[in-house]
Amino acid sequence: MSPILELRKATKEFRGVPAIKDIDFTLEPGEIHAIVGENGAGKSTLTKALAGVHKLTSGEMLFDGKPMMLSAPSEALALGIAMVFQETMLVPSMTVAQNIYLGDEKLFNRLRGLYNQAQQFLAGMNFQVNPTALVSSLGAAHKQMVEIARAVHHKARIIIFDEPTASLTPEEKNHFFGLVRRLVKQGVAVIFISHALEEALMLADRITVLRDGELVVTAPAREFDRERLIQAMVGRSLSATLHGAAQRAPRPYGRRVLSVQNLSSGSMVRNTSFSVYAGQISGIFGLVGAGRTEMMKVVAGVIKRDLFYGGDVRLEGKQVRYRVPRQAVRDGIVYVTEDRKVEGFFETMSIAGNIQTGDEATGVNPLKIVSMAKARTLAKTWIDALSIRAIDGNARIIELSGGNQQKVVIAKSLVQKPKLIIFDEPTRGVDVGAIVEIHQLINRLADEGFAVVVISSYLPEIMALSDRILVARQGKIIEEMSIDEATEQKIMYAAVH
Amino acid sequence: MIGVLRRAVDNFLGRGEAAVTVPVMDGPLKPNQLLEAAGRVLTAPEIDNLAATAEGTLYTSGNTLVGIPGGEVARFPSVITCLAADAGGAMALGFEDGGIEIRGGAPNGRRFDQVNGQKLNCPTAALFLDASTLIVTNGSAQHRPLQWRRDLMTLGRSGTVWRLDLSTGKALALASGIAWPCGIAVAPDGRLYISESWRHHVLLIDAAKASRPALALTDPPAYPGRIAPAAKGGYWLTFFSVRNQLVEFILREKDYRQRMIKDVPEPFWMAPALASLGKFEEPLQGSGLKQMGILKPWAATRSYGLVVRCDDKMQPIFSYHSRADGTIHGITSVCEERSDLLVAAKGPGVLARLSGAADRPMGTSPS
Repeated sequence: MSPILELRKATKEFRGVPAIKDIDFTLEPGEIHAIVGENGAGKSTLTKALAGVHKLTSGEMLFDGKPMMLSAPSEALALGIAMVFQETMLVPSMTVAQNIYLGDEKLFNRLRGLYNQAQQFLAGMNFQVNPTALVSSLGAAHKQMVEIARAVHHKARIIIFDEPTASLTPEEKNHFFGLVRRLVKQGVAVIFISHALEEALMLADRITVLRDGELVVTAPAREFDRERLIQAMVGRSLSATLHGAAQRAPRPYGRRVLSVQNLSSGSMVRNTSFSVYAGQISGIFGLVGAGRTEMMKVVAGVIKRDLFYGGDVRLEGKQVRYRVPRQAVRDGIVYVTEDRKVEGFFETMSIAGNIQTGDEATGVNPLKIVSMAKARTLAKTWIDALSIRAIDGNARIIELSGGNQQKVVIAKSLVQKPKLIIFDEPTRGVDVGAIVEIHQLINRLADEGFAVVVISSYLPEIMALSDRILVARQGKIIEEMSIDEATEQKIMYAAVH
Repeated sequence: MIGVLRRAVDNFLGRGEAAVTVPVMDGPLKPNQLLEAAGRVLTAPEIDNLAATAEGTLYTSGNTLVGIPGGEVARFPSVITCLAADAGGAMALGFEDGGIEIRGGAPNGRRFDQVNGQKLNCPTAALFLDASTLIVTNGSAQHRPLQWRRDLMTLGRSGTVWRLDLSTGKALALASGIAWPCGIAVAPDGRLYISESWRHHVLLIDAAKASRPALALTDPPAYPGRIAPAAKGGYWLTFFSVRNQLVEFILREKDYRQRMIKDVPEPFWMAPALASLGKFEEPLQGSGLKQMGILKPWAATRSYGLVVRCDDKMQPIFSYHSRADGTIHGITSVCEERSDLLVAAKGPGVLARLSGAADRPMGTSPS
């Protein structure tokens, strides 16, 4: 059987840095092909190249044995390649039927007719979804169904699922697996990205493991077991060389700054408990959907814990409950977001303006009268302290590189004189040179006695920075390791078991 | 009024004191089996009250004072509940039926059954500040030392810390309203560390006058007990049992507690214990706790062995554990002997030795 899709020596570079390199990949018709790898391994880049989101820098792509060059997702969709993203791409303010037929509208649409068609179409796929319901009212599993229905409606011959089960309950997962098997029986080929290795082992016909943008192995799923997969995923070490594996004794424990007890928040944080100590870096590792970001966001007041029996958060022994982050900032908790462009800074403002907003959040200036001279002085202090490469504090933050933007976001947090600093993916989208500088800064903060939390899904980073490593899985901290006893295999084993 | 409303809301939503949460054992308290693996020196029923003297180490077993080496030193009519030894050779002994008695030194033979008109009915710990000044903790105004579980289950908050002048007999209450004080040590600045078991704190109080206690260690996951200074700096803090959510929950449920106290024999209460009785009537160790509709899989451990090395500020640095499946439980006293640490596990009646523990520099981990 000839492959429906084939990649030959596929390379995709971003500003000269290869995200995937010389990948040879084939997809057979009616096959479920799982792609696994750590965060940053190149899974998303590969699938986005297949779906027309990214254009390959070099290499060849063949569809039904014929070369093709995709320059937009619409071209891929026209060929029958659909991608279902982890975060659904549905329009929440539209109904299920409108979403399914989005982009396929006629000049005059009769809504009732649309609903009838959608009803029949969904029933034909055995999806119990009301076509007249607003997408915003649907749960994760139902949204997933609508995405799939949309892909099938577009007569997709290849469907790419990016972490489809991350936000599904076990029951919903089983339902989803049933759907995938049914699609495969109809001849659809499925590419399935997942961090849940047991799902890949159970569902896939073949598994491809990527590491640091390179293909490590492609083999039938029956030739793998969990240990072999983990070994293939982490047995590098280009990245370890970059970050430098920790060859040092952990810092001693300081006073307990934060005690989280039986914390719950929706389905993402489930009755978890852990502590954070001063003068140390506590690394939190977990795969996507493990709830590590959410548990620290509850601590920082970004999201709320459950209304009933949501657990207890104690800052230096005092019970705290924040409705908004500002209250947490005033108590000395700062959260440096993983999504700096959306949550980290105001892109229309200057460096000085951004740092000033951080200072204002502490409430020391209730009249909100801002002296720009003072703001510039403050900015200069932090530009020097964190080696931010900018002409001066008036430079617009959007003009800076990712690493320098991240440093401004960190400065904006440090200006708030925190006791506890939470870094969420501190080096995401940051160049190699800036990674080293940010790591040095984080280490310096711990040496100065701050309680530091680093959330990362990148194992070498966790290993290089942390004094102790907390592993999150399914909304809980399930393992604690000192850096002198931790290995990448041990951490990954804890994260997936 | 606002307080009442707040409590009602907290009870309804499971917040504040009604949250029924217990801190996790992590960081320096991360469980290991080092205490369980410690060498057994000897067995003695109800072993307790280790004290270092010039002649060797003393311990008590029921109403008997025993020396290592040397064997039985003295026998008393009542169970010895606390023991302090002075460098000058004096000893202070507290008894189950109340009172403190001084043996040796200048105030030899003095006995204090009452101080300032209040009974010393529950001496739980004692410490010589100098040859004529003794600090004594009276665990409860209502209960005797061996009734500690009853004091916990009746939410006892009537402990007092006394400063006794042994030459004049004058006494000064340094702190009162303490929830079972049962450990004392002198802080580097001359103040006193006092362990307050039922509120799970180690307090810092003035040694010379009544003062408002400050918190030195807050909210550990176990009940703090005796404190012993470490030769290399810092302290050894013992925990005689662990907290768990089930007991914390029962402590909130007044009617349940009252019925349990009335109807169930004390050894079978769902309350902390120094050791398992090994009888089938004991509360479930396998647990049947259901919370928020979920049957919790953990075992509600009642007894545990825990000794924690703390720094000068009473912050934990590392710890020695005997976990739920172990036997060295109910640690009530520790004492350094050269490079080793002797540990009295009152639960099983075992004296254990942690070899080299006292020699270990403060910042290093034992494992």
